[in-house]
Amino acid sequence: MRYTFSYIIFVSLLSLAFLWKAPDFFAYPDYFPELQYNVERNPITTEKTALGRALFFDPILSKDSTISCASCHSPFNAFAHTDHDLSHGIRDQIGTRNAPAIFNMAWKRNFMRDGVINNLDLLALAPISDQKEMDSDIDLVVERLQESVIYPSLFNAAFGDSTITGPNVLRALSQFQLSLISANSKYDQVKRGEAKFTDQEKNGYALFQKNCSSCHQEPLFTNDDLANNGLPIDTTLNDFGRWDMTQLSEDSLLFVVPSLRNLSFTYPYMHDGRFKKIRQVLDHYTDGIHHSPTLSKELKKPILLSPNEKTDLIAFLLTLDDKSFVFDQKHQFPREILLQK
Amino acid sequence: MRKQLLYLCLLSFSTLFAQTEKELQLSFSPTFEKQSILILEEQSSVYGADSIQITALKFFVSAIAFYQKDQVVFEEENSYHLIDIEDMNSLNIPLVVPENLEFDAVHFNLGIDSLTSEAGVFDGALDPTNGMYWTWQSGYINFKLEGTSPICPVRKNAFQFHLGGYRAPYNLLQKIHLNCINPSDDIHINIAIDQFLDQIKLSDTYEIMSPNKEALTLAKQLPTIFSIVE
Ligand code: HEC
Ligand code: HEC
Repeated sequence: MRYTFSYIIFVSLLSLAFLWKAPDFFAYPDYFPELQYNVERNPITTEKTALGRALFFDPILSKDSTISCASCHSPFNAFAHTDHDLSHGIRDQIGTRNAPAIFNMAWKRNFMRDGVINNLDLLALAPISDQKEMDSDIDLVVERLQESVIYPSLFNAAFGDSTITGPNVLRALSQFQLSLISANSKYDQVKRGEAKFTDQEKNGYALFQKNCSSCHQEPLFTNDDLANNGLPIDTTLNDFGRWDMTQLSEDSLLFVVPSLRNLSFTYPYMHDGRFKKIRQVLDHYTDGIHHSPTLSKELKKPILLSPNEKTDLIAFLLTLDDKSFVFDQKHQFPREILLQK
Repeated sequence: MRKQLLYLCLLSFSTLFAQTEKELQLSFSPTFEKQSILILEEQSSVYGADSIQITALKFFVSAIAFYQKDQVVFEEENSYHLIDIEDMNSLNIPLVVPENLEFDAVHFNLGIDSLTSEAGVFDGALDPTNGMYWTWQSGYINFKLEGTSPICPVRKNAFQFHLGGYRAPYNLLQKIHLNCINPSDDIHINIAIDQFLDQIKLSDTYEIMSPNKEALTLAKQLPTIFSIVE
């Protein structure tokens, strides 16, 4: 009897651990690190993800219903934006930063170019309320969604409640963004033994590991930390990165290290989109490093790369392109939902 | 079998325990030079030499605990409360405590701790869409005071103090510890808004909206304006 009792406790604890099972679209390789997003607080479901996708593509989130999240984060650019170096928002207003790509968000803690946002859930409040981006506010968004024909039933399917709340809008938007997992580039296939690097790519990989991987850490190609990578300040913008928030001298010119996956789709590069080509980025690392007190120690010694080595390094970086991610139908405009309005 | 008996005992013990609880109110009264502040239709009366009107006063109270001889004797679970002067109900926090609780001090945090600030989205008091969460950077506004005074040299003579944020070195959370000399059942706490505004020269400083040095200096004054009404 005593044993049965402890057995019951043991089994119920065990089943608790397996209670949350991720749906297939949230699968990721076993060589990816531990999740940073707490999925237990917002368990991933098909319904919430579908709702989040509709919200992400719907201009109803902006004041004059012209701008959606996807206006600046396009699926065909791995959810970055390539037409402009600086972001382009409501009433054609130009922002001060280049819209970053959105993928592998479940492994991040530092959001935005300077890490001012600490959790994906809360991020959407920023573009929704920014006067130059969507110029709306979350209360207005909730009100409009509640009045729409399609959303109350989508919220009901997702959250069991057709009364729409701000927190549930944020949870759904997170879910769609969490489902954007890029893990099927040639690099990943090589890692899983499904493909082989060419000699040139192999050589580029070695150069990458020697010079770049301390910040652009595998397998996500970012350590999600902040660093000064030696870009000279653009005096028309005077963007000092993290310093703008903390005003601490040690934070001057620190920006979050971006992932290097999908570079073919996410140009232009850097927080202000100053480089259009990967080669220009490499030229920056070999010849353009601006020395300032917060420059990362890895970049204090010059990085030496011959023109051929640069070509090899680029060949390796291109193995990080993940076409199956960029062209995944599940990530495109949800016609079946949004065109029925 | 013996184990089951034990559980049964525990269960009945806990119901026994539940019967010996009582309700106790922790209530807040914002005042200006001892006059209580009331906001009706977003406007208060006019107070003090600088003809101050208060248009908003909201703050977070969290981690409520009672102490007896420097030992914690009661901690409220899931203790997060948004106090809003325009919502009379929010000014009283009902607490369920053991009947025989003896305490000589009450403790709470003014604001939201860093762990909670990083945990993501919540419903209820911590709902980030209720105007007490910054949109352009992560962090709760711990204490919000807005109003007008003719000496503020800005549009509509408005002053706005949004004190909050959790990241070092500008973690603005304040711990408030108040001794209760005669702990009666309910605890009444006075908030002397005039004493807070006395620290500020409204003709120079009328807008603090982000976590910075100035905000931290002001936040550190906040514990001094809370006092127990015996
Ligand atoms: C007007 C263009 C614009 C719109 C509209 C927009 N964003 Fe962004 N987004 C940006 C820019 C620019 C940044 C970088 C801001 C910064 O670093 O300060 C950004 C950053 C982000 C990031 C951070 C990514 C990272 O790696 O840190 C996420 C996530 C994001 N946006 C999601 C959204 C969502 C969700 C919406 C819709 C609610 C949205 N964005 C609408 C331009 C936009
Ligand atoms: C000390 C850390 C560090 C090292 C080492 C480093 N980077 Fe970076 N890298 C960064 C940071 C930080 C940024 C973002 C700067 C910004 O947004 O202004 C960045 C941005 C980039 C970008 C632009 C990505 C985008 O989407 O905008 C590329 C490409 C890049 N690095 C490639 C490399 C390569 C190749 C190497 C090795 C030769 C390298 N990096 C070494 C920190 C580093």
